[in-house]
Amino acid sequence: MGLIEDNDAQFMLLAGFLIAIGLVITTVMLNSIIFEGNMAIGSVTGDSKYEMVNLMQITTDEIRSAYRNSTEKDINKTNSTRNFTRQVNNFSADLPKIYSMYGGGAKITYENWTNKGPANFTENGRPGGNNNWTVVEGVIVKNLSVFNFTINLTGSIFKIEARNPTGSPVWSIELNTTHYNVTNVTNSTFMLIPSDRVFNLTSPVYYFNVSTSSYPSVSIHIIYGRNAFGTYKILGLANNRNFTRERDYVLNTTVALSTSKVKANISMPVTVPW
Amino acid sequence: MFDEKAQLYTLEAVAAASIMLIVIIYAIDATSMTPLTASTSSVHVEAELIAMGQDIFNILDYAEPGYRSRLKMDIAAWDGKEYIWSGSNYTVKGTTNVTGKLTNLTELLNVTLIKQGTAHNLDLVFLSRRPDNTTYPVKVKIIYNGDPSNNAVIVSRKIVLQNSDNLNPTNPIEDIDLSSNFYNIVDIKLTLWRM
Repeated sequence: MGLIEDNDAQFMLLAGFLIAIGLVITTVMLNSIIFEGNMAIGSVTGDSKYEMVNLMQITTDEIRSAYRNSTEKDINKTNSTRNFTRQVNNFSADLPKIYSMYGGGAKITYENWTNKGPANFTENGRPGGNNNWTVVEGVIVKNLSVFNFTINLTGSIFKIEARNPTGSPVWSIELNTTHYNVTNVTNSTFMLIPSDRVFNLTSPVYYFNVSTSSYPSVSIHIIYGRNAFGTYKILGLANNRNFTRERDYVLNTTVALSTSKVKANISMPVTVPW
Repeated sequence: MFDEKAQLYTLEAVAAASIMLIVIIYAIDATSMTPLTASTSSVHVEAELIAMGQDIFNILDYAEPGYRSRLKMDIAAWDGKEYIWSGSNYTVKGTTNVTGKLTNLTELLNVTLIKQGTAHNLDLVFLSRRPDNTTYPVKVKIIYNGDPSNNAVIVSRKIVLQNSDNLNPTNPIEDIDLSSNFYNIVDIKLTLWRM
């Protein structure tokens, strides 16, 4: 029996074969494109984010260091802002030279505290920040050396609270527009707010030490932080380590990073001195 | 004129050409694959090394308010000497003296990179001052374990040093700003590669 010559069948087979090859090629190419695309996006976002965070960190470090150094050296506000500006300007001028080695660029803009009010008592120091927050935990009361607040009210109520290790309030000072009220587990004291609005809370008149020293440690909290602005400084021992919590101002700062992969501008609040 | 045979031959030729093209591309790709050729897996290895390097710096460069980071303490305490991994310790190049200054760095590198057999170099880039008070970047080696391979990755971390950081007198990083507490900006570069 001879071979049957069927051109239609050959056409169909060949067409099927070509479609199969086409599908394989398309799949392989699509896979390569997706993989390369993901790798490229991953490298740009990951590395650039890391670089950006690092730039924000060194800028924050430098601004805080310049603030501490200038205010410790000179209590006169004009002199201290001049020293601060000189130090941050020098840092700002040298910063791009490090980045330029790799074809990138970095720039910072900042402000000093001339004509600036103290920070709000919110967590990040800004008016819209977290209202109720923990300043420090694990404070050993007998080792608390400084616990100072300067408080100006903008709302009806503001409160500082100490809680024992189980989270129960054991002492608090609550301020309204004219008076403050100290409450501990046994009694309550209602007094006029001092004219200078400075509260040295380790002083016996505020009953902090006597109310809290029987506990192994306490945590310090701020309640209704948006209702007040001012400064605070707390120094002592917490969790067997010396700690510092201090804030005077929030300085608005902008960092700009430019690399071959990304250009970014970020505004950030820098709390000083810490 | 409608010639089905001619159409069939043309289609067969296209199919044959496609197969030949695929075979040629495959052959070229296959022959150029060497141990150092970048591939899907090597890209992942590089990504892992970058993540590990960044983690190392994140751990070392954390500081609570009122404290200096361990990375900053090590860089300030560095004696300016070049170190190599001698098989059991980081020693000063050309001697058997063990480093006593880069404690935090070498401890962490020992338990992370050395344990995994990841080769690494550590370099510093900082600014140096010319007589006319302009500054320029300088690169020096802290840890040198050989030339990196083609698949090496570099992770860097920048820190700012202050006069109050009290640098080791033999440290080559100089004070570029004599008028304020600002001392220098240092870029710490960790080069990582698989042996």
